[in-house]
Amino acid sequence: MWEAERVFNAAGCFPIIVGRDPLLSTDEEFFGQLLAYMESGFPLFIGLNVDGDGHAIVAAGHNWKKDAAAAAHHVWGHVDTLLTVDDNLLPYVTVPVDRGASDGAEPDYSTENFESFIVTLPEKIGYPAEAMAKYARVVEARLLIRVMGCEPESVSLHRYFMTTISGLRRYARENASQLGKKLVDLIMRLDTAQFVWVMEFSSPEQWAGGRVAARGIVDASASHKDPNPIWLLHNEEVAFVFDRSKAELAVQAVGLNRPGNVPLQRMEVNLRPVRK
Amino acid sequence: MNKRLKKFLKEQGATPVDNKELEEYRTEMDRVMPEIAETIRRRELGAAELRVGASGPSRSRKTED
Repeated sequence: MWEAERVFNAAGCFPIIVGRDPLLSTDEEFFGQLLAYMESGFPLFIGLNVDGDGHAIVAAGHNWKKDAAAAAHHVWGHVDTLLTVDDNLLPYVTVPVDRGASDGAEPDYSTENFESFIVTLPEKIGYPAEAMAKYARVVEARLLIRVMGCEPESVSLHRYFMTTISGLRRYARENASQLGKKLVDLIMRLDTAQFVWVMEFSSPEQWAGGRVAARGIVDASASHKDPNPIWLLHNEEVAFVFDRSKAELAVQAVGLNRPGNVPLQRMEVNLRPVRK
Repeated sequence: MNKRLKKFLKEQGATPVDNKELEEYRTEMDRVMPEIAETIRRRELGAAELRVGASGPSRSRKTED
């Protein structure tokens, strides 16, 4: 991993290494970060151990499970396979999340063999995925449930990925009939940085139907010491707009008047969905 | 907040959220920020260990000489 990191550095990238160590983080945290960066459209250099031999592959996509049981907090529990490039099994190979699924078939490893990964980020990213994992829990408990009045079950499942503000605005324009005019206008007027984290909250049932209950837009260039990195938080009915130009927390609530009974759809903006 | 957004919010009848309702969020963020810093520190610690870790045998395809 050290040699790979040096190559990325020499190429002018800003790599971060994330190791999988039970003493340092849980598996949910490790794979949660892995999925967050992958859904942000960054290819991942993954180091793995197969029966004592070191190996490296590149992950570039994933496949959702068709019938996933309820996951704990993060949507990683809903991932079925990863699309990877392995120099021994060119051109592409799907790596199963469930170890049993790889029995007797290529590749002879699963995500259980992953030990670390490198993601190369743009220079401007300051708020890493592990900060988002903790921040999403705060937003769920202290804003969505306590202030917005969302049902706890409806926002229990978290997903977050990075995109550019132009990508977000393009999505808003293309989905104007679903989001409603007021929400689209809000997104167009937001004063944001170039890179944003998109947080999505849903219940397992909503997730299975491709829907979400709430969404937040967070500053990806914020420092992890920023006490309020969020710009916008909304559910189907109301949006909270955060004024980050003030030191004091100041939030404006605005009703969205969205088209009746139109659910919010899960955002797919970085990785192109492929139909089999 | 930019003027354009301020004007838009005013036109749409936006109302300030009561600061008392945001108190729990503020308090929780004060508690979580050091936790986030510690998590990042532990990740960097793990990365440092990976950098010094000895490389074992590799199963990657070897280029023919």
